[in-house]
Amino acid sequence: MIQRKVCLVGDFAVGKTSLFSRFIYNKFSEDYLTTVGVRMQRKIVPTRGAAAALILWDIEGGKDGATVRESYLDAATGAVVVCDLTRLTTIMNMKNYVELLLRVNPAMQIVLAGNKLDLLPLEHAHLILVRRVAAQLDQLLTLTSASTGVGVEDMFTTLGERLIEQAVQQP
Amino acid sequence: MVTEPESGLVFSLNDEAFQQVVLRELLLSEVGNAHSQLLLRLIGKTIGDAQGQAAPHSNGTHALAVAHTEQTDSAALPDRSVPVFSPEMIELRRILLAPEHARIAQLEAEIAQLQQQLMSQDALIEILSPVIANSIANRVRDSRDEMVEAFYPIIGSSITRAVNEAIRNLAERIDATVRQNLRPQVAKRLWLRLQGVNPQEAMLRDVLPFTVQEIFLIHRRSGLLLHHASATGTITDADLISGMLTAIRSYVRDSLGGDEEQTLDEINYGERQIVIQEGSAALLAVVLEGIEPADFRQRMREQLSVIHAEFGSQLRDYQGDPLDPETLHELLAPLLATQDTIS
Ligand SMILES: Nc1nc2c(ncn2[C@@H]2O[C@H](COP(=O)(O)OP(=O)(O)OP(=O)(O)O)[C@@H](O)[C@H]2O)c(=O)[nH]1
Ligand SMILES: [Mg+2]
Repeated sequence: MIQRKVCLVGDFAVGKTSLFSRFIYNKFSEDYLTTVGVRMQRKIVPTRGAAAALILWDIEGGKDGATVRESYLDAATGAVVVCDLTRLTTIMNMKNYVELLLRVNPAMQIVLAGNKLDLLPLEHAHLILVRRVAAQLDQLLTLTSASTGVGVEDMFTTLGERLIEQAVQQP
Repeated sequence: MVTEPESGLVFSLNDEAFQQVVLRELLLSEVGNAHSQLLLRLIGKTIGDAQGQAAPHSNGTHALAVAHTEQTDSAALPDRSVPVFSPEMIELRRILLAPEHARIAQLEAEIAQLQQQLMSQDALIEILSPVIANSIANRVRDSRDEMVEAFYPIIGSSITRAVNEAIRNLAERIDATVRQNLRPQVAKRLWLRLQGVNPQEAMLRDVLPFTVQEIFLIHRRSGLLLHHASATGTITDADLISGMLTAIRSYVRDSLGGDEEQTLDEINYGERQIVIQEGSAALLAVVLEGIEPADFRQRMREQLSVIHAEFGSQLRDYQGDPLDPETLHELLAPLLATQDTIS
């Protein structure tokens, strides 16, 4: 089976671990337990062609301007850049992560996740802003809530499909 | 009525002069001279006072004064109280009670010392440890089996590990000696003997038990699993193990410093060991139990170069597409089959 290394990055407490747990175990917890180092899980996603195993690396979040341990990103082909829609700085910081990921692997398949959607009213200004940022970075944006589960499965499946498509295009 | 024989005078009991005489006799006989001098002065004063006014009654001191008079004729003496705090009285008390005072002082000192010992943990330990040590010694002697049962889970594994380590050291020492020289059996034994390794030790080295349990071929940069071969068949998440091994290595290298070449190449846990050999694109991690043969790591490196030669370009840009599992299995099976093989 084809396997792909996928990293979850973003500032601390944006909900990387929560998205990971929602996707893999279909569970959510209000408690915040910061990730130290990295957690790993495998999930098989069905794609149009064949099934692919995503090896998900849930990496500890950047704190105080520091970003990610670069060696964790090494040879990853896919990444989810997560922000917390309620915290403006985490939205703005997505740019740094995207640039870093493309530096590590110019062909990196990236999906942006605007998380904690459940905490915002639909017409909130941050929603307009996050769309602008995504457009500027020229990356796909999905709005998610690890709490309600909205958008989570779709986001990972979309990423899986893109990874397989990419594999087909450049054998 | 008492008659004074020499003078022929008759004294009434109430007579002051009579009382003084009796007391003098009494005191001189009972207490030493210095004491009685004082006592006499005191009594003289008391009697003088008592004639003028009735002194306040005090049981303690009264009893003291009376104690000396009882033997004569206590009923005959007037019940007169003695003032409590006259300086003479205090002095008297001091003299009479001197031995008791000394004793009390001594006891107080002892109590203070005991109290201090009880308060200070160190001192208490000092006192108690011989007692506790003794009682533990007795307990161990009386219920040896229970003790062994209780302690085994705690120290059993550390003993095993220590023995393992000692044997591994022995093995490494012998291997190092051998490495300096020739291969053929006889020559090897001779060489070892010349180097001061005794023949029993050398034979022991050759029969040390050893098994390979798992082999992981891992893409070095991504941590993705390229191939897994198992002698146990118990591992279900080999791809996560390979990822975590890679992440741990990066973590150690990044946080403890050092360059690309310096990182974990061995992890010991319990009686097992993970030995890691790194190639340019892939690394080989082997879980083994026991003491590995001297040339085992060398053989790992050899297999790695064969794999690199075979899959070179695929490994360099590896993204997760499966490699030919049959070929990989063929290349790794010899390592898995390694058992007690030294020649
Ligand atoms: N309401 C709501 N809370 C969320 C959501 N996602 C995460 N949280 C909460 O946000 C907090 C942080 O979530 P984590 O998933 O631990 O964040 P993280 O990005 O993994 O953090 P680090 O590991 O420290 O980098 C937790 O208290 C979660 O319960 C969401 O979609 N909605
Ligand atoms: Mg986390």
